[in-house]
Amino acid sequence: MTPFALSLARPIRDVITPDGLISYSHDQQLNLLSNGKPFVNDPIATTFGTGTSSTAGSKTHQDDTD
Amino acid sequence: MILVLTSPEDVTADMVVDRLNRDAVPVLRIDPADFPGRVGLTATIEGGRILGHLKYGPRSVDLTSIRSIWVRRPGAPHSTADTEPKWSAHEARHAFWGTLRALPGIRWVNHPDAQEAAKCKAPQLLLAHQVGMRVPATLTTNSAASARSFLDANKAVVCKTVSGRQPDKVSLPTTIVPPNTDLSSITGTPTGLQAAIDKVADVRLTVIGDVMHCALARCGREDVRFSGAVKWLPMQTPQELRTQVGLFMTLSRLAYGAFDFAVDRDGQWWFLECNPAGQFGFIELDTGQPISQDIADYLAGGSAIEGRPSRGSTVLAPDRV
Repeated sequence: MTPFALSLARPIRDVITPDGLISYSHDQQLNLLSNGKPFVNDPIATTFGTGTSSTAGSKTHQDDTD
Repeated sequence: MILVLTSPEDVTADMVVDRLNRDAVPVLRIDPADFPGRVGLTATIEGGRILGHLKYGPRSVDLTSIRSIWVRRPGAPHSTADTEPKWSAHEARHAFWGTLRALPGIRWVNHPDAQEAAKCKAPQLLLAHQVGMRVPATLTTNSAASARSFLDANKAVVCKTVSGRQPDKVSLPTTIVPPNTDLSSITGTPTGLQAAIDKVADVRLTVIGDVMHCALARCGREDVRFSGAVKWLPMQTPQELRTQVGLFMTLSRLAYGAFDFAVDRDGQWWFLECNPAGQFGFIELDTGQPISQDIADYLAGGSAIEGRPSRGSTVLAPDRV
């Protein structure tokens, strides 16, 4: 039986995410863009990666963690 | 030394780690999911003291040097054992978290007990009412009859997740339940229903220590999380709310929380939830509120400075909602 709530669900929107565009630097303890600069210093990239419904980084970007 | 517990892909944590780096505050960022494996732990308890170290790659941190721990988005310690892997993972969880919990004088954001308790929405709603906030009538049930009665008793009802967690393959915004909808499948999975607020705006109140950052989005009835064009504006925190939220934080033993409120057409504020590990990057980017710096300051043991100017936006007065 499909849960009732899912009868009200919507498809996940296509959103631009940094997945695959960034890599984690163990040295700097930060994610880096492909140009080697910290992701966090790029305001456009960060806009797509830090919201409550973005799929960036899978579940790390939702408000609730479990 | 500040210990940040989160996954590598957590770019929101980057915002704080970057601030700590700039402030030359020593930080070790690890994911408990890498323990054992990349993360090494040795702890000795002797003579009433706990001594030892955490290792991650070339970094080694003396346990006694750890002053603050940010429990952001940690994975679970796991097992690398071929035999009894569940038991082995259980041992790893107790070794990791047990050691950190035993460290004296830690400034936690948030303490694991408080964080775990605050994830449940039902106690939040009761506590919010207790401290004086308005709370929409809420039903959690797997009874179709109870759900029907709730729909009949309220002008409009929204369906929302009980846990707050989104499904894996679809989005589940908080959504108005059509009045004549078939409710029979509620028997299979407990469902969260709530009296709909005829809202004109959403408010996100981000709290770290004693500092509160209030932001507002004029969004109508739709779920603001799924409205792509929304713009968050900084606003002053109403004094009455400041008192209520402060009490909520104290009673919840939380150092950090991201509160969601709905503002109705009469200007009344309704508590929706508190996210103990809620996102803040999108608010900081829109409003210029220095949340990541304030979290960094709190972790570093300083007092975050409230009223630090936001970048680029006029701060709304509470009566401008």
